[in-house]
Amino acid sequence: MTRDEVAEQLRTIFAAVLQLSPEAVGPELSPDTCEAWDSLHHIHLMSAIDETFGITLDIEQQIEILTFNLGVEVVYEELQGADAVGV
Amino acid sequence: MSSPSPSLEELLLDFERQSLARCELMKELDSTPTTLSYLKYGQLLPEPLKPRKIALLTPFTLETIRPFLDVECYLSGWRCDPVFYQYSQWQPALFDLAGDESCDVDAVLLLLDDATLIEGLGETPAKAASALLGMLEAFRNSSQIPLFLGPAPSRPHDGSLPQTVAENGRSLAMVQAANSALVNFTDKAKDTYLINFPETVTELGAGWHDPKAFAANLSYLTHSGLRVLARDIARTVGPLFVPPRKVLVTDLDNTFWGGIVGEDGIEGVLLGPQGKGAPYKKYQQFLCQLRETGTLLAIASKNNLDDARAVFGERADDLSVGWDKFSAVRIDWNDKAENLIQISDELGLGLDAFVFVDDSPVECERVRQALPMVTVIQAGDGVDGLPERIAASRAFDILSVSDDDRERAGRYQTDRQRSEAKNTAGNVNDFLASLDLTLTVDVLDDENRERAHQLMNKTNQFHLTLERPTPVDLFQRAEGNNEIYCVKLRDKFGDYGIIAVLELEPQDKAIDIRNLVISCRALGRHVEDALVAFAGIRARQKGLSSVKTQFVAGPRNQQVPEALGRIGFSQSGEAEGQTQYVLSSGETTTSWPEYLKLD
Repeated sequence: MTRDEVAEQLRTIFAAVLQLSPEAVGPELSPDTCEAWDSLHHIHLMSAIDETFGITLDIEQQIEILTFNLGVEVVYEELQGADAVGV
Repeated sequence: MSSPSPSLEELLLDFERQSLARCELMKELDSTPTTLSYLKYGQLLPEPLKPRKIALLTPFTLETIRPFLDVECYLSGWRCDPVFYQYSQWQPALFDLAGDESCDVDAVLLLLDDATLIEGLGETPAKAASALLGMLEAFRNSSQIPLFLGPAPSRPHDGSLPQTVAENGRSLAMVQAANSALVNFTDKAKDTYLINFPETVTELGAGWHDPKAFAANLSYLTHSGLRVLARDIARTVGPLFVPPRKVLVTDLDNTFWGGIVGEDGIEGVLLGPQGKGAPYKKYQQFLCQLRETGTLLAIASKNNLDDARAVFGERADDLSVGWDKFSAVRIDWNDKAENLIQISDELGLGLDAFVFVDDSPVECERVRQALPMVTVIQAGDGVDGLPERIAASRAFDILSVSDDDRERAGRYQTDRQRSEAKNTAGNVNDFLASLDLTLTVDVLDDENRERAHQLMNKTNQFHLTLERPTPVDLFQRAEGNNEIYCVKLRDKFGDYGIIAVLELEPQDKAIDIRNLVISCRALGRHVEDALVAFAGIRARQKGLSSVKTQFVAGPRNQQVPEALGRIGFSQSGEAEGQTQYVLSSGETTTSWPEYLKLD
């Protein structure tokens, strides 16, 4: 999966969980710029990411996702790692 | 040309077709039970249901259950307004709720976890169980709020609990002792019920437990775990607010038995405990269980009556449900939707209390279109898994089985005898006089309040205000100034059980019949006339000079104003959707029906 494909799927997830239009999900979207992105919705985001991509992000990775763009990076890297070990 | 089927989104907004919307949403979530699905559909749910305030006490964080709870409660026909408490505050919150007389919470849920039972309650299993029981008894003795208790499931070993073999043994004993104490308590205490969470999570294997979630947010449930817990809460607590369906109408060919009796013959239909008849036997046994818990059974089948009757006669040994166990039967070639309407009239029960089971997609669609309030379940090929699908529809979810439930089907049997007596009587008055009707009026108490709550929440036809109080509401009003009576009726054929609830509110000069609810099984006996006369007697005993009441119109209680007029009430005003009535010229005396005796 390319970085752009990851970003596209993540955009859909962020829009659905945070009740935003996909266009409103910009690269710098963060808990500071989006009121709906509180700690509860962060948990739902992480769960939706795990379910959609078939991965399990650890706590450090979950904490690292402080913006939409960082989310793309973390998920992309996790998927690359999974590919590398043949998962 | 037929119009295209509505999308799930459209169905959810169609208030006439909520039964179908729930079925379709259930199917969608069965195939895609993801967090995103729950969040998506949670935002599309209609809002008209009254929110029910549920206090969720847990020694772990549970706020993330919200989207699952929203959707699962909708699927069970109610709306949850959850109140969460900080995870460390469940014990003080339990005491606070018990001591708060003005508390407006509809139910309290206490869900425990193994770590709390091991570390937080006492040094030995006996001490832990005793501490827990002490808290629960204190709550139960001072509060009427229904209490739901969830024993702790044992987490897969993740390193967060004691490691040595000896410590593991001790931990297990602590959890088992506390869980057993909790289960025993639900068996004995009134208004206390079990949420069997440890058993539910077994369907997920170890997939309910998330050690990383506990480290991150003090929860220990995965989203799958939250989903099944939300489903259990919705289904276990829901019957407090949503009455179960009352009637299951079954098809016969390829549903109740295998094959088509008109083609395969009486000996050719598949029945019996072994082979191809086994799934049909299982379905029949399921119907038997439903009947024992108060569901009425009926048949709607396109067949020759003689053929179908012959199967019940000649293959009786292969059947688990005999002919006499059905409260209504329509075996003919008429439209099934029309037949369902006739059965509804015959039993005096609304079609929204009906579940229709048929193998034919055409018949199912016909009933869905014509009678959208009926829950339709299509039997699959060979009816494999049909009982499980009917159970999963939640149509028959119940809180507990009352004596009244157990006796219901038998009572409808007696009603058939009454109908026959009515047909042979000269006129209605002769018939009523021949019944030897006797009323018994009892004050609301621990014995009859479950039935009182059930009646006020299930009755649609003779219900003055359509108010649906919780058991707590009822008791609070009875402990205050109001008088609440449960009324029993019996006749020469048998006992009708508790058939009415009368609530009287003494005011400055008048006695207000705040509510009067009469079961459909007692309609046409002029019980309402007798109970208004009874209210008049109470008014005179209290030195009050008039009797008044009020009526709130609903879809099916049109007979109430007619009865009030016949008894002698006239309209005195309108306010906040209520029509007020008072007995003409300030009277308190109305005539007592001569064929009704008061015990």
